[in-house]
Amino acid sequence: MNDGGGENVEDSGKKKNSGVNAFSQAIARIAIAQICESVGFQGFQHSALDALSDVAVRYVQEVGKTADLYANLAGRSQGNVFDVIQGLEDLGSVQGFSGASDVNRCLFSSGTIRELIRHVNEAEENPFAYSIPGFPVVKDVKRNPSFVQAGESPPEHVPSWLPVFPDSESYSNLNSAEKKDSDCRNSKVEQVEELRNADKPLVPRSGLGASVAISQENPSKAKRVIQCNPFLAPPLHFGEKEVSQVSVPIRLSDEVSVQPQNHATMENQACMLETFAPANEAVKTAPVDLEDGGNKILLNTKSPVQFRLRRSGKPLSKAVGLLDKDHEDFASPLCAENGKDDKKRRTEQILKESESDMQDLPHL
Amino acid sequence: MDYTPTIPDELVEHYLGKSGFQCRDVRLIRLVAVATQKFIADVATDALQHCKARQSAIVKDKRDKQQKDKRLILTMDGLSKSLREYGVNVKHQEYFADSPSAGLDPASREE
Repeated sequence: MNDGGGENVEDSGKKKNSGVNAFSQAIARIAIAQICESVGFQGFQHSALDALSDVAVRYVQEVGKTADLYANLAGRSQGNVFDVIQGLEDLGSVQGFSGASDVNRCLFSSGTIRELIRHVNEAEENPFAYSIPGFPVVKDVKRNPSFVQAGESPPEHVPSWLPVFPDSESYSNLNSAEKKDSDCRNSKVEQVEELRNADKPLVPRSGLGASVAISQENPSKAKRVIQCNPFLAPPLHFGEKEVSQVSVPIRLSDEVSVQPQNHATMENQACMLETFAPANEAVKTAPVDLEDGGNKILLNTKSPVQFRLRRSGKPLSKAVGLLDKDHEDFASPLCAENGKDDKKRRTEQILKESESDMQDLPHL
Repeated sequence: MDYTPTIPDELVEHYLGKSGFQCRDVRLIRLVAVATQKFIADVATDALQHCKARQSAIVKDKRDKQQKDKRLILTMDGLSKSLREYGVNVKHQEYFADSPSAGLDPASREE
């Protein structure tokens, strides 16, 4: 915002803020043009008119400044006639005026005022050509009512002069949405933590006694999550659905039974198993015993050799089916597929995590 | 109070308020308005004299262009000269493309 002295009245569209400025400058131009016309000019250059109106505006502002200065000097906040006259004298001191040297002169009879009176008497009255509305127009900004105006009682930590809160619907909805979101997030976090917990016993390898740290309140939560989103459901424990653990052991057991002498493949398998052992163990929630025709197979035995030990050739699914025949309906292929996918996913994730852990370890 | 200055009260009040001098007394505002009007009138009169003097000089030189230079035009040249006497230094734009005819149109139409 320029100080009322800009000459760019024409390009006032550039600045949004200069509405009042441009308006007052345009009025000043008209007034100055009228004065020039009354003096005897017949035309003018635009630049000259701009400059002269600028000078006039500055003159008014200078008078105001000096008058304000004198008022403040006298200990008043509001100026009166004497302040204005002294300001006019200050500005007229460039040319000088009669009686300026007299210190004890009366301000009303100063040379400036006398010259003004003479000018008024001589010059013909030439009122402004247009009627001007009062400006600048101050828009009424509609503010939110405060607590006092609205008659509400604010919460105890909020002062009553602050604006009222918006309608409760506007943020209560948000809250519930947030809750849902946080619920989902919580379930995700739970899932991840569960995976971590399942991973934990692998590291110390404390044998059979190391129970998996899957918490007991998980199933209820898991069921709730299942209701809202099946993809976010945490993986099932062993025993809730008895289908899926079969696939790997089947192959292995078959291979073991069919080609027990092929040590190369066995080593290969062993290698593979070794790499996957942690994952498998995690999936099977370590200390679960599989009964197989009276043989107890401990899945979380550390070495992959465990698979050699098994000699029963029976598919585990059958074994499981034998175990609980009541729940045969659970053993549908779809469920098995799901379980497989779940397992794969978890295996991959756990592998990744273990890798990243291994990478992180040196840093620690 | 009979005399109505050319400079409107609203304009003066606005600029006085902007400069920090706030008063609602119309007499004070009119006093400032009259003072400003007098100042501008003095400057314009001086500029008019400059303009007339230059015109007479030109007329002496070339009598052909009498018609064109007959009109009294407020130019930056004369204005800067007259303003200098009042303590305002205005430099004339050297290469500013401002034709005097721009301000002449309404006046010429009147005639």
